[in-house]
Parts: sequence; C-alpha cells; structure tokens
Amino acid sequence: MKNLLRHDAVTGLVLLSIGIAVIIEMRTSGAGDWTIGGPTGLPLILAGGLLVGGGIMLVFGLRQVIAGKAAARDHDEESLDWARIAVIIAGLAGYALVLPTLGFIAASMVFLCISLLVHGAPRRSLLTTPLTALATYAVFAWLLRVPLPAADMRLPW
Amino acid sequence: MNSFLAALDLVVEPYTLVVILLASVFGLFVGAIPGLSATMAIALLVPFTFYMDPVPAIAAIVTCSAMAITAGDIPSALLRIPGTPASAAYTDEAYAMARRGRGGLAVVLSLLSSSIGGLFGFCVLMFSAPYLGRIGLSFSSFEYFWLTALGLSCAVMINSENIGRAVLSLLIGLLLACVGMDALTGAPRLTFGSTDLVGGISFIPAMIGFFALPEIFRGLRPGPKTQSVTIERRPAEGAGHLLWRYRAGVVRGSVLGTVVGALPGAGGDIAAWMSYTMSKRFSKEKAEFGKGHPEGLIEAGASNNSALSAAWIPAMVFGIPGDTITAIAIGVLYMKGMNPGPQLFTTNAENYYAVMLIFVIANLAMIPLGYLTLLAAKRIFSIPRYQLQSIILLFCLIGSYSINNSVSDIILMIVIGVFALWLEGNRLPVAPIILGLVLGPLLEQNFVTSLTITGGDWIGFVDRPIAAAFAFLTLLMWSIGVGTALLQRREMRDMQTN
Repeated sequence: MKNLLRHDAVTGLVLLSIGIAVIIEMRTSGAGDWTIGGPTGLPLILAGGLLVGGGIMLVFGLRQVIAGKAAARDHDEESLDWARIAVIIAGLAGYALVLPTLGFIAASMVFLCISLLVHGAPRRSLLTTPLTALATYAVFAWLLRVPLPAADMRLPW
Repeated sequence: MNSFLAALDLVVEPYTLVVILLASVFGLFVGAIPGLSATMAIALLVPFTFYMDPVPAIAAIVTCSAMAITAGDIPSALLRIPGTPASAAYTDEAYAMARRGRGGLAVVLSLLSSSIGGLFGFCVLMFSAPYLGRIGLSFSSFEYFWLTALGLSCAVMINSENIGRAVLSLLIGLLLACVGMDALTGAPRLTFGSTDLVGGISFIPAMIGFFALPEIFRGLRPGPKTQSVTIERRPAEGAGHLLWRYRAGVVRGSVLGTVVGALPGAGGDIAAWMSYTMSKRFSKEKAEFGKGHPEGLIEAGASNNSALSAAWIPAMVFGIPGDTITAIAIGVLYMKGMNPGPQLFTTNAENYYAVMLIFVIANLAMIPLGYLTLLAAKRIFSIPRYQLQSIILLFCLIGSYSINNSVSDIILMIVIGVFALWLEGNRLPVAPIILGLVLGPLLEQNFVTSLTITGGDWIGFVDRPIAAAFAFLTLLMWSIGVGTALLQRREMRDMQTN
C-alpha cells in the first residue's frame, strides 16, 4: 500500500483528480466568465496544466507497471512510522476542535500529553505538561500579547 | 553635513540606543520562535512606538524587522521552519547543512552574509535612493508581470534535475494562490463552499504545513532521544574562509537583492529565490547543491537582507511599501510626522540620515546578538527530543492559530502538512509551491492589468524595452533549463546503455 501511494501512476492520478476538481468547482461556483483575463482564467489554465502533467505521469507510471519496474524511492521515506503520524494528526485535529471550548491551557496540556506519549517519552515527563502549557501561555498571551482563547465551559442548557 | 551630524546626535542618545537594544532582543526572540514571523513582531511592536519620538520609533521598527528576519534563519536551519518566504529559498540547503552537523555554521553564514547584504543595501539607499526610486516608479504592470514570471521560473530551475515535477509543484502553488476572493472582481474562487477559504490560504499555516510538519512526522521514528540536528561546539569556525571563497556570490546577491528589493511590491522574496538559482547556475560545484552546500545559502542570504534594506527606497522616497514590514513602517512614519516623499530629504533631512545610521547599527549589531541567540538555541537543543518536538508542535499550532485567531488555520496547516509529506514522498518539491503561493496574486494581477491595457493584444506585453528584456531573460532561463535537463537525461540514458 505504501509503495502504491508513491507510484508515479498514483501521483499522476491524484494530480489529474485535482485538475478535474478545480474545473468542476469553477463551473459550479459561477465565479465568472471563462475568458483568459477573467477570474476563472488562471485557475482553468493551471488545472489544464495539472491535467496534462498528471496525465503524462499516469502514462509513464502505467508503462513502468507494465514493464515490471518500480519507481525510484527514497529509503528515508520507506521507514516512516505511519501509526504514530496518524495519532499526531488526530491529536492536532482534536486540538483544533477542542481549543475554543477547553481554552488554550487545558487543550495544550492534553495535546502535549498525547505528543509526549507518541514520541516515546517516559511517563514521568507527563508531569511537565501543565508547566509547559502555562509557561507558553505566559510568553505568548502576556509577553507577546497574542490573543489565545480562554476556556468557554458554558453548558448548553 | 550639518544634517548628518544632527542625525548622529539623535541616534547616539541613550534613549534611542536603549530602544535599539530592546527592539533587537524582541525581534530576535520573536523571529527565533518557529511559526512567528517578522511581520508579527513589527505588528506587536507598533503600539509601543505610539509613545516614542520619531527617531526611536523608526529605530525600533528598523532594528526589530532586521533582527526578526535574521533570527528566522535559526529555526529555518535547525528545524526546517522558514521565518520568511524569502528564507524558504535556502531553508532546505541550511537544514541539509544542519543534518550534516554544521547547523551552527549555516546560521553564522546566514548572519554574516545578511549583515553584508544589509550594509550594501544601506549604502545604495544612502546615496542613490531618489534615482533608484525613480526607476522603480517607471515600472508598469508589464515589467512587474515579467519580473514575477522570472522569479517563478527561478523556483522551477532550482530543481534542474527534474523540471517536470518542479513545474507541477509550481502549478499547485499557483492554484493555492487562487483560493479566495478574486482581487479584481471579488468573486470567490476554489473555496469549495467553505467560508473559511474566502480570505484565501493564510501564508504562515501554509509554510508551517509545507516545511515543519513533514519534518516532525519524519522525526516520529523510534531513534535517539536527543535531537537529530545538533549545533557544533564552535559554530563560527571556517565561516570567514567560506565567505571569502564565495565572495563573488555575496556581491552578486547583494546587488541583485538591492535592485529587486528597490522595486515596490517585489521585495526580498523574488530576490532570494533568484539569487539561489543564480548561485547554482554559476557555481563550479552544482552537484553539491541541496546536500548542505553553503554557496547558495551565502548568496541568497546576502540578497535577502540587501532587498530588505532596499525595500525602504520606495518607502522613504515615494511612500510606496516594498513589503508588509515597510507598509507598517510607513504608517509609523506618517504617525510621527515624517511623511515619506522627496520632501523628506529637505524638510526632515536629519531624521532621514538618522534612519540610515540606524540601518548601520542594526546590521552590525545583528552579528553578535544573532550569535548569542544561536548559543541560546544550542542550549535548547540539549532538551530531550520528545520534549522539544512536542513544544515545536505546540508552537506550530499557536503560529497557525494566531494569524487570524481561527482554528480553521490549524486545520489548513494539518491538511497541508499531510499533503506535503505525500508530495515529498513522490519527489515533488515543495519550494516552488511556496513561491507560487507568494507570487501568484502578483502575477495574476499584473497579467490581467496588462491584458486590459493592451485590449487583449499579446504583443503589448513586450512593447516596452525593460519588459522585453525581462521576457527575454525568462524565456532564456526556460530554454537553458529545459535544454540542460534534456542533455542530462540523454547522458544518463547513454551511460545506462553502455
């Protein structure tokens, strides 16, 4: 599956899909006329470029498949830990979802706990998360005056 | 001469010097934090300038911007998180140096070349601001269109090993730049029904997503408990020798940066990318580029900071901002009664010269203060990797959120991060995407304006001599790039058959 995701044929297919999605979006959104100088002009030219480029990659990729050759791959990329990456991505997305409700300090504490565990930190290091979150809040909110959200724990009833 | 001496008096006042020192520390602090930009540092500083006299106020802005941009090279080299779009041009090279155990040297080289470039830009600003400003004002949409096209071409030509993939990356970057409201008609484009995308793709979350997140994802592999990138014991060792060795690049970068930076709206972004490409083209060690070779880093670093100084030419002479930082600075100039324009040299000559002197102080102070920041960063890097990576992730989240105080920017950063990881896995370079994202609006705006002026006549695009020269250079660059790539491919095929 990992190898398939990095195959030129799949890359070409993804680029083709992006080009098609752009054309469909420009047609359905009614952004304006289809002239070159109009608002849809540049996106359509670019989508056309992706269709051509993606198409060429797809053809070359398929020829490689038929010839039994695999695309050259980077060994460094082969050893990515996808399970950990998925947990971090989920953690980041979860942070975005709970930030307005929990506020910066609580959300950051939870996120730091997840991140430390995923990075293989010893369990005692979790004790540092409240201090890290508070110190970060102090630097950004008080010193740099970056407005960070406070907890909004109002109940819906 | 009297004005110059009066300016010297204004600058050496203890109050002004203290402001310069504090603004330097603040700029270095904010610039060194991954995800926080120089523009944000300036925006945070502006309220404090309300209570200052004109010269200290401008001193604070000038010093803080120079320091923040320079300090942005520290996370750029050590964490692969560029501080500005301009430094994104050499981020990968600096990071490759850091991975080879020469991260400190990369930062020191960047500091030194930036300082030289900044001082060069200052000299030009001092002596030829009105003349250069006049040339800049003679530029129309045609010249800007071709200049932008030339800048974009550079991003592609950096990846001469695989121009096709670089072109595809550039197309993706330009498409991302199209997201949001069309600047001319106000029509929403490529928002896919999302109101969060109407304002376009925010630049900071995009840059964090494209550069920082893939690196953090790669760092999730089980491995040593300390950071994979380390700073050497004596970071400055060999820096002087390297600067002398690549002195031609420093001069070339400084000249190009000054010329491009002096053009309103062009700024250091195009200059740094063009310089990096030129460095690669003229280098005798082309094959070393991308593997941690200092030549491109030195040239683009000099170009970046000389463009920063030169961006003040249109700002001071005509009140036209060269970039976002000078746009904020112009506001401060007006606020302090130092209205930019030709009269600044006659009615406010001492203040004009004072600003010039502050440039010199900022560019000289940059070296020791930047070095101290690097030493502080060295201590930070002794923190266990799991702690450091987690804190960097938190900074990335704050950096993305704080641009618009919106969680949708965090989502954008995550999506782009995953996309960038996929792109890199498929050998599609991310650097052209960044430049496409930055220069896309400029390219389109000037293209549409030019097309409207000519009434659809394409010959009009090359009617003016400077526009024609830029068009010729762009086409020449593409011809050489494609020709070289075809030759390389043929040579490789011949080698395989033999």
